[in-house]
Amino acid sequence: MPKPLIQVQLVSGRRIAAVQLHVGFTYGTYTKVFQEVQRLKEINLELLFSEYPAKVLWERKFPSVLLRRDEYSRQAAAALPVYKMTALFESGPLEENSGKHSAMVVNWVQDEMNPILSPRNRQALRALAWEEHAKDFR
Amino acid sequence: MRRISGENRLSGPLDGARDPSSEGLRPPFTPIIELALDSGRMIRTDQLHMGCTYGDHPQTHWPPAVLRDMNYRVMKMRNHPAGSLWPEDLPSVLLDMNRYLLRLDRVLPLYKLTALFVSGPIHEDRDRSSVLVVHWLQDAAHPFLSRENDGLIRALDWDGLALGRPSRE
Repeated sequence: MPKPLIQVQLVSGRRIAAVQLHVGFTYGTYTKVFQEVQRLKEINLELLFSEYPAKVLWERKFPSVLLRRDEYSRQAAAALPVYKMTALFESGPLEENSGKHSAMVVNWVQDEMNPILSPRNRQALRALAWEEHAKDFR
Repeated sequence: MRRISGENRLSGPLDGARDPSSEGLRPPFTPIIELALDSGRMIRTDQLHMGCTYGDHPQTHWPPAVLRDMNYRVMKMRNHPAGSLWPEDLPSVLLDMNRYLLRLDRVLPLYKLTALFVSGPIHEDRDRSSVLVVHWLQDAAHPFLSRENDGLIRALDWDGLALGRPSRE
């Protein structure tokens, strides 16, 4: 595998690597909705479960998570961080000797572009239950 | 859902989005990349895609003919994932392509980046804005635009390459 964009060792000991990354704005094309708290809540809840841009970028249907979703859901009336990062991560197979590799999409939001994975999001990613979410692909 | 970045984009700090219980100001809105070309024109991008130049293929131990073929494919940006983010008929450019074409026997930089850049109109009387997809290659994951590529993009002939988006009636 070529040098990955992001490499992380999970708490479980498994090593995962990002092979593609998309950087965009969390609120994308929304512009005029932020004056109303109720509308903001609705949009936040939609964004917290949105599969954009993953479903456009990759034809294959990968499992997907948003890091710290529960944390953001509890504060649905607050603006989400500005940037949304979406990365396709790969790792060794879930089933040994299957000739496959496991993969999933991980999304996170943060207010800064550097580092690409902020310390808090890195911590959340390290705690990810990969075996629970990822799938094997050939 | 297909979205074209740069349209109806956020235009300032998300003041209106603050928590009513006052969590404090949001950081200022900053485009992912914004710069002034040598011509003085400002361009910006609100979306960027990044991947390994050769995809999942390892970059070593290729016979010269295979490497040349792989490099040609990279130059053509065939089946590029970011291509699905924007309309297919937008003009695009790979920074420094001529130099890469002269060195097809060499391994290309590690990462391939793609962004849809947006700017003001080319023809004031016809356009509301102009767009150009820019690809570039580099060995560092960050900053997104290396110093070398920064210089190359600033030298772009935007008015000759970009597509003017017609004004709405």
